Amino acid sequence: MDLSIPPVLRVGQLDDFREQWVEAMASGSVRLDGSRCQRIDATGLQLLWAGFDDCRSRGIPFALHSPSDDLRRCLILAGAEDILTPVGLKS
Amino acid sequence: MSPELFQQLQAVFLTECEDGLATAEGLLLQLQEDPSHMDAVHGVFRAIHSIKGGAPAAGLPGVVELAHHAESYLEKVRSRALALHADAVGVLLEVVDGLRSCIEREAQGQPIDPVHVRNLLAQLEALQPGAADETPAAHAGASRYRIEFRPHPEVMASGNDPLKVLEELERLTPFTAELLVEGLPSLSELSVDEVHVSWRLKTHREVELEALKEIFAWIDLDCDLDFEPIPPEVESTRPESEPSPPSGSPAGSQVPSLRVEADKIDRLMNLVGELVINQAMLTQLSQQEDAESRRRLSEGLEELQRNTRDLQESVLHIRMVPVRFLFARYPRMVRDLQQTLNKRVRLVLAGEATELDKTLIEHMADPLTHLVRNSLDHGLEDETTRIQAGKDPVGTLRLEAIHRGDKIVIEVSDDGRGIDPERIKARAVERGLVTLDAELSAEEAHDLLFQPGFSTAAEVTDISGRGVGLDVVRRNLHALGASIQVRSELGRGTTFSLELPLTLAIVDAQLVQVGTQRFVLPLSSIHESVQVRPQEVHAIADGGLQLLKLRDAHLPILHLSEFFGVGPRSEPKLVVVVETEGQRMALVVDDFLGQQQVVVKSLEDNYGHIPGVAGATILGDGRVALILETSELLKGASAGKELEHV
Repeated sequence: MDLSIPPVLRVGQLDDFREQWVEAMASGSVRLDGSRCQRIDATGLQLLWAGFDDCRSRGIPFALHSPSDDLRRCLILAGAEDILTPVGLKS
Repeated sequence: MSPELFQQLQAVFLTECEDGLATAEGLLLQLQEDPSHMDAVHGVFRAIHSIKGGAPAAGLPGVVELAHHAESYLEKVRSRALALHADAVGVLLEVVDGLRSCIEREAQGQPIDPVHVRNLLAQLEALQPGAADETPAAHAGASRYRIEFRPHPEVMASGNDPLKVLEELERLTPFTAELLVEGLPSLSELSVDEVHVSWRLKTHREVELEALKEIFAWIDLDCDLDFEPIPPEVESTRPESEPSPPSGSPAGSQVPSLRVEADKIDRLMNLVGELVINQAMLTQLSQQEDAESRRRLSEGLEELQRNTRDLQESVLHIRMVPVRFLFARYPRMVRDLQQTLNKRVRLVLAGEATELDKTLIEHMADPLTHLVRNSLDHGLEDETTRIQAGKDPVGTLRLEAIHRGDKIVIEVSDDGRGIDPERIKARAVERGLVTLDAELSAEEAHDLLFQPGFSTAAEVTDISGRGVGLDVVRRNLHALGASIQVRSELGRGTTFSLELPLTLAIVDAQLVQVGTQRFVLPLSSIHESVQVRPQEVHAIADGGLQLLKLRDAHLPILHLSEFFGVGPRSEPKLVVVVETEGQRMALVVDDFLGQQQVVVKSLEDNYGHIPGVAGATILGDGRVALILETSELLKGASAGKELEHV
C-alpha cells in the first residue's frame, strides 16, 4: 500500500499518519512517498523508525522513495539512514 | 593504484600542502602579534593535521613524524594545557619551513634531512616541559568526543527537539550518529508525543569540551549526557578523512572552489585567441561583399564581437588571482629580516583582493621580493636613528595593489630615510655615468638607480646592496609589459610604483603600415598620433639623428622602416608618439590601419629574442604582424632622452 509522508511530521501531528501506516502493514507492504516531507522532528523520526523496524522484523516489504532533501538529510544526521534502504522488495 | 593516478593524487596533495603551509604561516604571524588568538591556533592545527593525514597516501611518509609532533604540541595549546609564547611561534614557523622542505624533498624522491628534522623535533619537545608527566585531565579540553545523548521521554513538551541539537552540533563539528532504539515500542504501541530513542555520537574534529557542552546547554535539563574524550591512540587507528557533511548542511556551506590546471586554461586561452582571429577575418570579409550581404554580415559580426568579448572576459577572469597570493609571502620575510637587521618594521598590506593574471603573479614575486628587501635593508632606519629623527620607532613598509583603468599598480613604499639625489649623483660621477657639472632633476637622479651595477649602499649585505638588482628588476618588468617608477623624499620615505597590464594574453592595439610590413603597437604605450610638418623635424647629428619638435618638447625620431630593414628612410609625415617609463619618442610610420585586439603569440620559443619585438600576432587576412616593444625601441632611438623645453 502506498503512503505519503505529510509535509510536516512533528509532535502533535502524527496520529493520523501512524494509523495509516498500521493499516498499510495489514495490507502486506508499505511504500512511502517522502517527496512532500519538509519538516520533521525527533518524534516524527522515531515514528518512521518504529514503522520501518516493525516492517523489517515482521518481513513486510518496505520502501521509502523520493525522499525530499530535508528528509534525507534528517535521516542521515540522526543515524537513521537505514530507512532509505528498501526491505524485502523483489527487484 | 595506477602510477598515473598516484601522480595525480600526489600533485593535488602537494598543492594542498602549499596552500596549507602558507595558511599556517600567515596565522602564525598573526599569533606572533597576539598569542591568545585561538582561532589562529585552530587554523594552524587544522593545516598541519591535514598534511599529516594526507602525507602517507601521497607517498610522503617522512613528513608525518614532524607534522605529528607539531600537531601534538598545538593540541596542547588548543586545550590550554600549554600557553603559546612568541618563542614557540618562532619554532612553529621553523617547523613550517621544515615541513615544506621535507615535502619538497620527498616529492622529488630525495630523503629528508634527518638532522634537520631531529633538531626541529627537539625544539618542539623543549616547548613542552614535563610533557611526559602530563595527566589525561590536562588533555581533556580539546579532543574528539564520544557523546551519549539520551533525551528524556517528555523532552518535546518543553519545546525542545533533539534533532535541533544535532543540527547545532553539526555546525560545530562533523559527527556520526548511532541511533539507539532499545526500548522503542512497536508502531501501534508508540506514544507519539514522547521520545524513546537516544543517540551515541562521535565527533570527527577536535573540539573544546566547553563548546560541546554549550551546544547541549539548552536541553541539558531534559536529557542525560555523557562526554567521553576519544584517546589519541584510538583516534590514530581511524581513517583520517572526515565524512562529508550532508548536502545543504551548514558545515558544507563554504564557498565552493575549483582548482584548474594552468595548462587547461592556457588551451582555453588559445581557443579564445583563435576566435579573436576569426572575428578579425570576418570583419575583413565584410568589406568585400555587396551592400545587403555586408549589412547582414555586419550585424552578425557585431554579435560575434559581443560574444567574443564576453567569452574573453570570462576566460581572463578564470586566470585572475587575488594579489593576496603574491603578498602572502612577505609577512614572513619581513618578520625574519627585521630580526636579522635588528629593525622594527610594521608591514601594511592593502588591496589584497585586487586580481591579477596568474602568470603575472608568478613573475612578480622576484621583483617585489627585491624591492621589499631593499626597503628593509636600505630604506628603513634602525630604531635609534628613527627616534633621533623624531620618527615613529617602528618603520612602516606598505605593499598596496590598486586597480587603475586597464592597469594594476603595485606600490612598495616605506617611511624610511628616502633616496638622496646628491648621493646618487656622486656615485654616478664616480662611475662616469654623468659629469660633475651635470644638473640632474630628482627624477633623473632616481632613474640612475636602474643603471646596471649601480648602488648607493655603503656596504654590501646579504640582504641587498650588491648593485645587481634594480636594473634586473626593471628589465624583468619590461619583459612583462610592466614599468617601474620611483618617488622619494629625503627623510620621508620612498615609493616604488610598478604598473602592470591586467593580462599578457590579449592586448588592444593600433596597426600601422611601415614599408611593406604591418606592425602592431599596444594602445597602452601610445601617447598620441601626429601628422608632421617638415619644419618640425630637426637633424642634430651627422649620424642622421632627428628630433621632432612637439609643442614644448623635442622627441627623438625613430624610422621603423630603417630599424627593421623593411624600407628606406622617408621624410616623416606620420608619427606615433609612444611613451615608456616617462620618456617619449616618435615612431615614423607610413599609415594607420585601425585598431583591434590582437592575440599575443610568443616568438622567443622559435626565434629567440628579437630587439624591439614583444611578439607576433595573426591578422584578419592570415598575415603575421610583429608586436613592437616600445621600451627597446626607445634605446634604438639612440638619442636616449626626450629633451624637454629645448
